[in-house]
Amino acid sequence: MTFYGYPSGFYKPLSLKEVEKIHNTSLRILEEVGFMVDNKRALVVLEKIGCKVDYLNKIVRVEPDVLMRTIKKAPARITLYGRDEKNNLVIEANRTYYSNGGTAIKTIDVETGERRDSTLEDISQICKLIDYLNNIHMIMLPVYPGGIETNEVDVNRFFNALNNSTKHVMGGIYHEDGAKDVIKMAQILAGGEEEFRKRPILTFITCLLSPLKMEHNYVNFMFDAADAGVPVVTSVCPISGLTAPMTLAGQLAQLNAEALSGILLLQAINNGTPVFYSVVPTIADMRSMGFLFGAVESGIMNAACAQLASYYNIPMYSTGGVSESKVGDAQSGYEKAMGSLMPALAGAQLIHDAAGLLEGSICFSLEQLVIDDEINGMALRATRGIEVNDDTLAYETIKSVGPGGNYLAQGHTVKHMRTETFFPKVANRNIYTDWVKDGSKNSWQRANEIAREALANHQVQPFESEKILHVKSEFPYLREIKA
Amino acid sequence: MYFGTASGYYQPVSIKEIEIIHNAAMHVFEKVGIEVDHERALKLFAENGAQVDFINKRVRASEKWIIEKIKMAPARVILYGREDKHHLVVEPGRTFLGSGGSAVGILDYESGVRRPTTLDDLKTIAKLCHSLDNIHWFVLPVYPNDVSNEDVDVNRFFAGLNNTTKHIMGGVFGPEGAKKVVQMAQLLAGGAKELKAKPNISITCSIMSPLKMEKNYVEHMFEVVQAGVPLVTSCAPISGATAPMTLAGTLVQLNVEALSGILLAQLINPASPVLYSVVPTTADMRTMNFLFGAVENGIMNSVCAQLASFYNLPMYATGGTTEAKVPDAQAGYEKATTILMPALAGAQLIHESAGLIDSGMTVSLEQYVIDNEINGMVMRAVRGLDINEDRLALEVIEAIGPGGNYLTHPHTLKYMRSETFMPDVAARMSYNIWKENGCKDVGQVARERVGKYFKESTDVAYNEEIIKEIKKEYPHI
Repeated sequence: MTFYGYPSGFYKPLSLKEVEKIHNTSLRILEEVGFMVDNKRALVVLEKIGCKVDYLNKIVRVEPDVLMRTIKKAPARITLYGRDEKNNLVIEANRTYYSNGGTAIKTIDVETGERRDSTLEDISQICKLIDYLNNIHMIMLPVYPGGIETNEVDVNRFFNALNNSTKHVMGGIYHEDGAKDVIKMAQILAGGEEEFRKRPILTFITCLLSPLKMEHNYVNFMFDAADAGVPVVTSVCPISGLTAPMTLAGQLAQLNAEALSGILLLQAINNGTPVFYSVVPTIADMRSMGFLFGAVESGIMNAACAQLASYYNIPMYSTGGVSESKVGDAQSGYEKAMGSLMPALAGAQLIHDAAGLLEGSICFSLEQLVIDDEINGMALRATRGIEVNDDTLAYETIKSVGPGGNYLAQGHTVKHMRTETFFPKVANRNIYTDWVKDGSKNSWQRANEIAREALANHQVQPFESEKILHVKSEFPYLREIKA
Repeated sequence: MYFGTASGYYQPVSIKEIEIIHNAAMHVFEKVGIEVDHERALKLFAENGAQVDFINKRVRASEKWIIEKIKMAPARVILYGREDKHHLVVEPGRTFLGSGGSAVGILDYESGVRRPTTLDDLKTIAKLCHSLDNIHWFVLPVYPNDVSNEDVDVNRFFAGLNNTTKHIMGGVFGPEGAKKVVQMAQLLAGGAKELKAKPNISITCSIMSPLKMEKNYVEHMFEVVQAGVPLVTSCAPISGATAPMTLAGTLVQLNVEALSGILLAQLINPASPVLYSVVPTTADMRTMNFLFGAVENGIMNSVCAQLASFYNLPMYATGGTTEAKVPDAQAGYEKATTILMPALAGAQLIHESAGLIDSGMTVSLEQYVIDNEINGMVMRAVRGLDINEDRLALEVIEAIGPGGNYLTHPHTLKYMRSETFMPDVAARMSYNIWKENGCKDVGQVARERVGKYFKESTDVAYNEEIIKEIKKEYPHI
């Protein structure tokens, strides 16, 4: 029942020699430059495993053999569990999966088309739609809901996502007690501490800061997660020219060091903690100094990172399918398609942000979710590639059809016609006059129809009412919103 | 001379699988063969040692014979323009992107309504493409509905040649079309020898799927090859209709078709410039409509790049296509997908990648501007990562240190203009600024830019003498 993803790794922007050059540069960064850790507990565990710690400046340096020995303890395979076991994902090198994006502060209302502040209701509605879509394999908490106290937002966000879908949920934490609270809630929903540890249905996204820095609260969340057996993403987002070297090679060297530092720390806290090699490589628009999420350079770098993660044999969290466009126009199409396709062909795993977002990651739209689900479907068809075997080579059929013949009525054609090609839901394929007859609808309009129909018809079982009551008694501020 | 950009990072199948496809194709050549509906061509095959069944017009050959003849084909073809910077050196592993044709409709620039294309449209588009840098050569984009079939070919090619100095490629539609175009090109070049030495045109003749060479097209091929003009023997199998439903089966058949074009050209004239030409598509099995923007086309074109490389032949591939009727998101993602894949796979001459929507039936001026940008992003992806000491920036990282900022470091200033792709039409500003500027989507922005590219386009018309000579020879131009 478990889904093993799509094997990939066909696109290699780097040669093996180049991968090693980057690796060696990162080793030197970690040994000579080091990284800053603003958290006493972390400094202590890092020193314990053999790092050189400067407590005054909070700088940690690590020698290559200590580093490599320690990261080898990180699991090469992580299973992310969903409430429904068909949504369990086995993450390991060269298997591709997609997730949507977060944490948008604006949402485009699917009824009115208005761009407005995001709400908790949006989380429920979005997660229900994601539960229905096939090419978004797990959920990232999609929006940050306005109007909720910071100490109440974490439990509310995670709960409503989990309750309105049966897929694995990933998200960040905003309040310093947030991680502990969410874990407690999840343990109740799982039926106990051990049950949750065995089958964690959520993952925490903690952030590292570029360049080479770890902040106090985020590190505390790592400790909380490692303690309870929650998988961790140590997301880091360097920006070329601002918080990373201008050159893509330089960013990769720094980013690789940052990703490894996250893995190093988690293993130092607790051997064998499931942690992802996590990357969000981006560039700045050097004309305006604006941060860019959907540039083609991010696609190239994510693909290179897939090769690096594979080199270390650690499952990865990458980024793709993002656009700077404010609307679902051609720009959103081509920027997202390239950003989704490049890491997929390179074998990147957990490609997040790859559905629903516009304006970089500022705005969420249900129409865009449907369109991106399709783009991802095309990319996954691309990674499936070509099956070459005696049946598919079709020699006998070619012979019997012969020059000038037609394949339409052949048994071979009928046998393969439903499975050989990708069938889109959004893309229009009619001839021009039929398209006009149908109302000349563009992709956005068709996506809107699909989204609304899915929301009306798809059903998700909520958690058992006793469990929800139990959670409410622990967290009276919980708002249960059914989509 | 433009050598394209080196590529080949993406290999959808293993070398073993390439060999399996090759072997299956050789099996088809030997046992099934191809149909050649042309007396002279059949004789040529027979004289050179292939097995020819004159009654059924079937040509079969052994692997040994095929490999021997293919080896005569040049591994490098140069497509010349009228200016040195537009000469393209085409060989395996180097990517070039070009426009496509032939559409019959255009979204009128003023009204946005779709109407039939004219010769003026062709001239306008040539002028526009002349100043778009990511369109490396010019495939005649439209069929001019206002010109008679007799005169259409010479008019199309001349309109292209007179409005851009990039290499001109196109098919022919009228009687003796190839002959007429070749003669005109020879006139413009200053003689047959001159054109053969530096051909600034190439001609597309189709091979029909499955496995058939038709009389008229073969006739054109003779004309083209004998004049030393590069030949494109376009093969366009449709999975499920004119090729096996499975992609692997389509590739086997396509490989046979593409190689047969190479073979015939070498028999007509050894070492003649010819491209391994592929336009693989799938049929929409729900409606039987032919699909241009399907992701499967991208995969197949990419494997074809591996195949062409296997034979060490320069190739012509297809990408940047869509079923969308307007420049919406579907147009964006189908085009990006179908062009990125063959480009990363190292396919050379990837045509159709500018201007076309509606399964290649319609063009629009703003689409050329948008596609120029998509092509630019693709070329940046193909350029990939430059890994060297200076770019790895270890000293810079050391100097900036944890928590620092790179903005004012000389290393940043050194690379800021060259490291990243700077788009022309994509919106990158914040929402509020975008709103202040009028909430324009990229189609609207591209439309406005069309004017700018026109202004930048230089006048490259032939001089008066030449025009007079041309008009004398071809009064209907």
